[in-house]
Amino acid sequence: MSASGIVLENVSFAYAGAQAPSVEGFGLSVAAGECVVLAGRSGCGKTTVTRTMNGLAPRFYEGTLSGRVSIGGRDVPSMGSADIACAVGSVFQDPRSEFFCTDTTSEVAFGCENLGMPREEVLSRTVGAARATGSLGLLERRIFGLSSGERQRVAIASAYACAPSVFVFDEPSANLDPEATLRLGRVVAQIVQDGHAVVVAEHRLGYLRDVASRVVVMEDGRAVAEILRSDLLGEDAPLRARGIRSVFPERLPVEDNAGDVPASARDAVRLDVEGVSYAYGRRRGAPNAVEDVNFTACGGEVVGIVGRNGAGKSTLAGVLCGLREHRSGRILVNGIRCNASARRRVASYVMQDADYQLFAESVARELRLGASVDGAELEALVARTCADLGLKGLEERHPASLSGGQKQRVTIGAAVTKGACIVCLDEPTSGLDGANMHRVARMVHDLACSGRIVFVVTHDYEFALACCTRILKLEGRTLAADVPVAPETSGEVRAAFFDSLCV
Amino acid sequence: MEAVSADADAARAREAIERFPPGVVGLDARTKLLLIVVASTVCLACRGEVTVLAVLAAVVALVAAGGHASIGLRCALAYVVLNLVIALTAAFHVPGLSALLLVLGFTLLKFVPVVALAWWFASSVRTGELVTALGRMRLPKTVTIPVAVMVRYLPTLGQEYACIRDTMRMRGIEASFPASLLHPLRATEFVLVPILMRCLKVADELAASAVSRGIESRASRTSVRDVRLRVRDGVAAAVLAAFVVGVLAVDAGPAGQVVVWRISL
Amino acid sequence: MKPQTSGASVANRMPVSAPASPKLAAKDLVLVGVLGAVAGAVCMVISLLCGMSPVTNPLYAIIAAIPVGIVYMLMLAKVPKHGVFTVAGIVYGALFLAMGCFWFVVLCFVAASVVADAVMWPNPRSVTRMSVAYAVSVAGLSFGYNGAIVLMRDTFNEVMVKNGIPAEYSDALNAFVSDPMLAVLTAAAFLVALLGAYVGRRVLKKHFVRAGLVQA
Repeated sequence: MSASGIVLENVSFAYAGAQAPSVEGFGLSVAAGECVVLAGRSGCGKTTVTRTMNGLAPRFYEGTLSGRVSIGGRDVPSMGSADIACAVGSVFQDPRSEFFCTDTTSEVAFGCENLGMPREEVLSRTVGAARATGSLGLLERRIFGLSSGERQRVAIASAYACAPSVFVFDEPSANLDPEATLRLGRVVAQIVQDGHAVVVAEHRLGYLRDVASRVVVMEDGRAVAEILRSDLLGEDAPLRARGIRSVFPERLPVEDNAGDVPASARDAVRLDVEGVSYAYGRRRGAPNAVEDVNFTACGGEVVGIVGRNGAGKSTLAGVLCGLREHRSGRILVNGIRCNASARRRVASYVMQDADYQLFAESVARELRLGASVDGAELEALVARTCADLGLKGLEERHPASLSGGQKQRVTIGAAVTKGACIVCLDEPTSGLDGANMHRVARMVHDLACSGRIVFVVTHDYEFALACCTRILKLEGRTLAADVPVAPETSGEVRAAFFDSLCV
Repeated sequence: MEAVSADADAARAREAIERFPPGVVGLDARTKLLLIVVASTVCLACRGEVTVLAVLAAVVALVAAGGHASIGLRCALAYVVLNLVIALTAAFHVPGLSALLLVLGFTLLKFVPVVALAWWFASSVRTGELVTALGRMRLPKTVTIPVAVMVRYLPTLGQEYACIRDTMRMRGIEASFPASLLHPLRATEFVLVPILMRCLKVADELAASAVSRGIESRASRTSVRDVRLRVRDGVAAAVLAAFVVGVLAVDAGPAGQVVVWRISL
Repeated sequence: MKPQTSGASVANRMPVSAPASPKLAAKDLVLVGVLGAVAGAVCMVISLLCGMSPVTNPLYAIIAAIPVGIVYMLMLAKVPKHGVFTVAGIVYGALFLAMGCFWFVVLCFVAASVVADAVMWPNPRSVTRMSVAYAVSVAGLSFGYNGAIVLMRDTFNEVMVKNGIPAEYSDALNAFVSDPMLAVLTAAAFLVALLGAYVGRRVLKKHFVRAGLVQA
């Protein structure tokens, strides 16, 4: 056993107040220079395992831990705060809430500063860590101007600066676009190459398939399978069956999703976008972000809006929904010209983070808020919506007590009760595992089939293949491609997603 | 080849961090805070409008030297506009309203230099330096941690509020200004509750991230930047003291009685 | 908790669980900071609205007491430990100071926060104590704020005389900013803050307790 590896023996952890342990009898050993991926569906316990590794459970997340967790031979629960920082580097999911400082240099130096190292040493380590993680160009900048991928790299550099022997990542790619995810993979590879032991808890294995030496599959708090890298190169269907995302998304077959859309849906609503251009932000003088967008969509269509980070996807969705006004051109709904506030009345925008979208104290009240009908009709509508979206029995629960997937369904339910005929979803699958992703795809499909146009801003190829009927690609300040999703056009569909990425 | 360029990059980065900004920008956070506190006291205590003008002029010069000239200019503009309002009100003697506007204008006027300084402080101070400076003032971690978190979270709050506003607009439960005055509690609930829910989540994640990097360590905190009181801080303090004495003296004397703007009709 | 399976290699047999420490930990301090940002933002917005006229200006602390009550009640429910008020007072005071608020206001607020902590000392979980303590700190803020205005009263008079405002208006304004008024405003702040605490608890129960984020 290597002296700088991590060893878990028969570890069980139950959060305080929980009925059952989240992790039971889990054992693992990772040597230096090795990368192990913990995979499994949501709630399988992989995050809890990472928390036992970096000492946050039970120190920060109260609960009962049994078994042995040791790093380099030292017992983790008995290590002091400073020792843990020097032994384990942790990187979390959400780059927005990892940052303690307002500028990047202070953030990278944060750990070293806490440990009271002399200034010269802090400086050397800061620059060294930035260099090792390829983020030298990100030093001396304000955090607020960085993209998610850049923030995540700074977070890694910050953990690296304390010179830990072990790195623990908890779903680091959850909020990143594909390009940033690939760069993340390269940084992880570099860290592994530098001789650290790395553990990554993830749904998406695609970017780690060349880095991971092993994948440990977890279910209900136990390890149920272990897959070596050589086996990974084969079929990934057994992995997908366990709720993990496809390891080779580019190999997935393109299918026709528009087959079972009823004709009535097609006639329900029609959206014409003619020569529309818009800008980021609401400042008067800002130059146009995208120009001359032209397309027509009918009910029953699920339109995927794709493009690189910053291409204007979310802004386009916002314009379509009436959140912001377009600069020029016309947008017609059912043949009638609509300005922003008119569009707002018939559209719904479901944001990435459900936390910003729930206002009421019960699911039923939430669905009634802003509904287009009232009285007995409203009650019937609410009941029907709950049944359709699998929210039966949850009507009196507070929305904030629901799981992430349930919250998302509530926000979609609100779009339904509003009677919106145009629904935009912004990155609905970020951070979701395979099973939940397919559930969202089915929901989106059903939404469209009941007579709505659904726009999905996404960079999740697997999800797009599962439910989109059409892909709109934004590139170079204009609509670069408008491709129906079908086996005949699979080449173009793939190109729209993977153009510049080396896959 | 690659290693050499990486070395050069690293050296350049190191130098960029170490480089200490010259002049006013490099004033310690403590000195800047002192400036704000003293300025606010002086402005509130003085009686004459000339004094406020003098303080404002000094502040604009200082802020411009600090590299944020636009802040100084905007505040100077606000000052001019306010004075015009006051002068017009005084000239037009509308009963009741005049008195109110006059007192209001005069009060707001006193705050203009302070607002300029506070704005400059928020734009130019970096969290790491602030926390270390506060630590040097013997403030315990119990105080410096929340202050750092507050400074870091305030800008994010604006974005979060914007998201919630957007959602409310889309859901048709818009909290437009007249409506929210009628139902203030409901409007507050709709805005505050999602924000507070997010706060709980963010606080948890932020704390986990900080704890995993040793914030609970008992060691005395250091800084990657060279935070200390320098000669220029002493000079600034001395100049400040002299300025304050001079301004107060002028204020007490006849010059303090001068009304800067007067429109006679 | 399932009993541990035997294994000679398992060194650590005792279940390890971390009890909640009575002292303020990093988790608590971060929450105070985050909620402080919200409270500060709310105060800033309200003071901007109130500052529009000198009549509403003295009422600023009173109006702010209600939304800030929600924030404070949440904070106290999540961090029922000794010293919360003092830390919050110093931290929010520092924010006001950096925004250019008169130091007298900040001093009064911090002093009131320390008194509030004393009120909370015997039982940090009691709702009555929380409400009274909150009311004390708001009353302190109001006293400091209006006290500063009262201190400026003479300068107001001079301004009005210089600009030729008739006497009855300046008298009316003086009556409003007089010493007895200060006591009235402070008492009003105390009472409204109690109301604010009540509103805060109501919102807490309706949302946060119901969602399971906070214990009742």
